[in-house]
Amino acid sequence: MRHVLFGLLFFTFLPGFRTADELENSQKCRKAFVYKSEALALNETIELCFDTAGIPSKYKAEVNMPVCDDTLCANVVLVFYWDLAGHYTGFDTIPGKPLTKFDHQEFAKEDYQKMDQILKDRNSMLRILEKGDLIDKTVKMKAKTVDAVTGATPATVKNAVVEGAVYSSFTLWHFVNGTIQNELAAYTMSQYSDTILRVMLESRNYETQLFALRQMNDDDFRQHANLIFSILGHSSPLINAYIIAKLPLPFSNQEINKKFISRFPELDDYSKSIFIDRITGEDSLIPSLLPLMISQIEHLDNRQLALISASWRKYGLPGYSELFD
Amino acid sequence: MMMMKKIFVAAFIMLIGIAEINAQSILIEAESFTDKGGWVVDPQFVEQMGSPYLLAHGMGKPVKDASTAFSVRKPGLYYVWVRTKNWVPGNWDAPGRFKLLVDGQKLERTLGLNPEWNWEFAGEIQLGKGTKQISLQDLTGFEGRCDAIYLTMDESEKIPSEMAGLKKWRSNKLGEPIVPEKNEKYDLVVVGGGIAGCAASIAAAEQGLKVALIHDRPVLGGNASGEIRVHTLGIYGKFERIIKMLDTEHYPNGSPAALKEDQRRMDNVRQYKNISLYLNYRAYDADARHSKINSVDARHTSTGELIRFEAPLFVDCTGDGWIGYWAGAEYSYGREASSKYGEDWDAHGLLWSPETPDKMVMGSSVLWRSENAGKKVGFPEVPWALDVANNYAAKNGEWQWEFTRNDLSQIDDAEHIRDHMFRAIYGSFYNFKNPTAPSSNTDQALTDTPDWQKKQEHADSLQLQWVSYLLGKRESRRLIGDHIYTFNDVRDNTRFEDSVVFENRAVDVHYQINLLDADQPDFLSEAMFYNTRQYIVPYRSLYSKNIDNLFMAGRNFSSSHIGLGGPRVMLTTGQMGAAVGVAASLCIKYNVNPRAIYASHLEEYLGLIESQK
Ligand SMILES: Cc1cc2nc3c(=O)[nH]c(=O)nc-3n(C[C@H](O)[C@H](O)[C@H](O)COP(=O)(O)OP(=O)(O)OC[C@H]3O[C@@H](n4cnc5c(N)ncnc54)[C@H](O)[C@@H]3O)c2cc1C
Repeated sequence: MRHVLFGLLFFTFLPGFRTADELENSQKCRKAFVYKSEALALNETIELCFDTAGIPSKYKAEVNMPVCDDTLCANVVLVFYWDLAGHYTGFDTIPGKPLTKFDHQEFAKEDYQKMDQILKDRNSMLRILEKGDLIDKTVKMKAKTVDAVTGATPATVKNAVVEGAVYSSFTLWHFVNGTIQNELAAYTMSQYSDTILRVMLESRNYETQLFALRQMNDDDFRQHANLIFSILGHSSPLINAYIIAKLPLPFSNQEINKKFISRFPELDDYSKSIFIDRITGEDSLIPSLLPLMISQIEHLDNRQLALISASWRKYGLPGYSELFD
Repeated sequence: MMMMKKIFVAAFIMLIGIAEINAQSILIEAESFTDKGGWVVDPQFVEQMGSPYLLAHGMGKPVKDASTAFSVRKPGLYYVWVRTKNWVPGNWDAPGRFKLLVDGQKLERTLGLNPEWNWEFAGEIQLGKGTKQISLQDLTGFEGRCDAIYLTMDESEKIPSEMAGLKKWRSNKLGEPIVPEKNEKYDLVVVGGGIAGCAASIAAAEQGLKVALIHDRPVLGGNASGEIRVHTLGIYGKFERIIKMLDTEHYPNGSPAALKEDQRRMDNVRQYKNISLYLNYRAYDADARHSKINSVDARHTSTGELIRFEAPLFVDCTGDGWIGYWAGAEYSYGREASSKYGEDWDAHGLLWSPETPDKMVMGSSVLWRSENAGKKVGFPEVPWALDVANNYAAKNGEWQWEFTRNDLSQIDDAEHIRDHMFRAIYGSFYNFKNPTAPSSNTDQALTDTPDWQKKQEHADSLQLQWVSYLLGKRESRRLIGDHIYTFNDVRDNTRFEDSVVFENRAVDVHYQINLLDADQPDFLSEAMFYNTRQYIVPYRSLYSKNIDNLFMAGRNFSSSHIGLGGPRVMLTTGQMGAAVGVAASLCIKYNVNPRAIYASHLEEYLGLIESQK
């Protein structure tokens, strides 16, 4: 993830410059669908791009959009990227079309960086703000180069926007995080395959992983058990826990159960807790899974040990006193 | 009546028995010390560890000795035990160490070393007959704790350590009656003096009810009090006049501005002649039979005095739903599966609401701040805090300083949670005071030097000004009413025939930031906002489904985890309280239970609410 981000920012800092890699990628995109939005006055072609092995990897759109109601700011012209689940991943500038602030000052390196962060923040304040909230009418600020005034940003909004580019921040956030996501996701579903499933599961974006996990039924989990175990423990706590809750346990093959149990030390606190809650709390898992926890005793803290031993006793599994007394 | 008499007789016999035993042993409750010095009474965890205790909350500076007098009837050699706890066991000196002195003579052992609450041996001492002075000498300023001191002449006496045995033993030693001897009767008993409890008391008192307000702190306000310092949010709804007596300015959370609001709030509540205010009393039991509460028992947090409160109606404003819990009211705890009530919201997916239920409720906070001392000030080493803080550095803590875990209960593990926050705070502050210097052989270090020096100077001058020792809680037990308030009521802006509480504020639900990245601190949270038009809580969410005479107001009202996200703020909980107080007056007027107000007197009730403005 870090690397991708850096790659994208690299372009951003050097408008007009593109790496060979990106040029190659850009050649391997094809039109997916047209995204229309009346609210944003958009009618844009969305492309699906493929990696060198020909596997779908991301969406791309070159967009030219107005961001404010008046003529104070220039249109935004940018190339945006989303992953296969429809989550915004970054943008590139286009040679000769830098982003500008309200007084036509060009974006600095930090402004591009901040814009990227803002757009990636799915939990931004911008979600709940309306355009009218952006400007505190009572505070006026003179634009330096344009003979006009525009409102200053109220304190609450300030952190959620690039200073001097409030409308751009707002409009772009709602564009990249808005209804386009559903359309991108729907398009992915129309192309869905095991290959796409794998790409998404191995994503570093938890929402993308979740998208793929949510498409999986019990049989899919059984069939892809090894793939699932390979991400279990290397994903965010939220995803680890989700997998643990969703796995069709127990597997009929005890070797696979063992593999599952052996993931325990790799887990974070939250998913460990969900793990223990599940194998100590579900009657049907006790005979096959609980005894396997003996292999993990050295990895248990006191709280976890107490839960395991209580369940051991409750279900009358053999050897309680040797193990826990 | 017959029953009562029997109990009294039994108690009487026991009292005689105790006098004998007590001749050779003396139990002193730390919270009853007459001079508490710099120690504070902490009654937050009574249900888990057995008693209020004294806490040496010095923020790293040893606090002044606490002391009290006691009398020795039988001279001789006494073995001295202290019930205490090492609150962070590990490969370091225990953070909360202290010594015990009797008549100025220091007992041999340093205390505060046991990993769990238990009796530690302090030493032995020869005592003559007469009045003696006993004192606690804090050695660290870092949260040492003392529950009780026991002096016995019997070297081999076994003092119980397990909770049930200890409880029995303790009341025997103290000669406590089985039931409180003092009995008070009211029209309405309100337990918990947060904004909800205060508003309930005022509304009921204004309608002529004789009200008891039982609150376990010296000041009213709960999370809004100067002891916790959260500002009130939300709207006043139909109860502007009442709630304005209780609310706060929009100061930053943790600000000392909260203190002057305490005074105003106390004065406002005290002006009601028919509110009897029982400050520093903590309720510890409710006696319910056939789905009806007859009485609530409370104990003074320092003197231990017991009072039984009888009333036809009770309001649970404890936040933790204690009264309901003791009475056998149905309640829920944890996060429901999103499918249970259909509460998913794809904007935040799993962070908002899980697909399978869990116990990851919103967490508790400890607010804190530092100040510029105007000179260089040190801060002790805190090796026991750094496992939690890691390299996180901070100089104050706002609402995001929040802790919850799936395997911790906000009630049963509350002390652990509070202590975890102490470690987060002291460790982060230590890190702030000791910023890592840029390594000297890089170009970066040269260019950064002036900045670096400034940063170090700023850090050098900082000292902790205030760290709360009370947990500010957000969510625990939610008592179940005839209506369970959920996200759907918010999303659909449902209007109810019994609409009594109104709110416009964006709903916010929190998640721990380490859910997305396990390397992030586990003591910080993030809020998710859901913006909407007005949403409404119905009266039916404010009384228990199965305990006939129990109301609830505050964060323990009847809601789902997500349903609590909007109305948990304190002007809204204040509205709940006021709505309940008004309803109680009609219950008394018609001699009926809360449910009947909805079923048979709704029009009159809503009219009465309208007239509150
Ligand atoms: C850090 C933090 C930030 C928050 N931010 C805001 C904010 O900005 N604005 C806002 O309005 N809300 C905020 N909230 C939420 C809000 O403070 C709580 O939801 C609110 O306090 C609920 O009010 P209450 O009256 O139900 O409970 P409380 O305020 O907790 O009051 C209950 C009182 O009952 C007492 N009590 C408990 N048990 C007993 C007993 N057995 N006997 C006697 N007394 C007892 C307790 O000591 C407590 O004081 C925040 C919460 C936290 C923790």
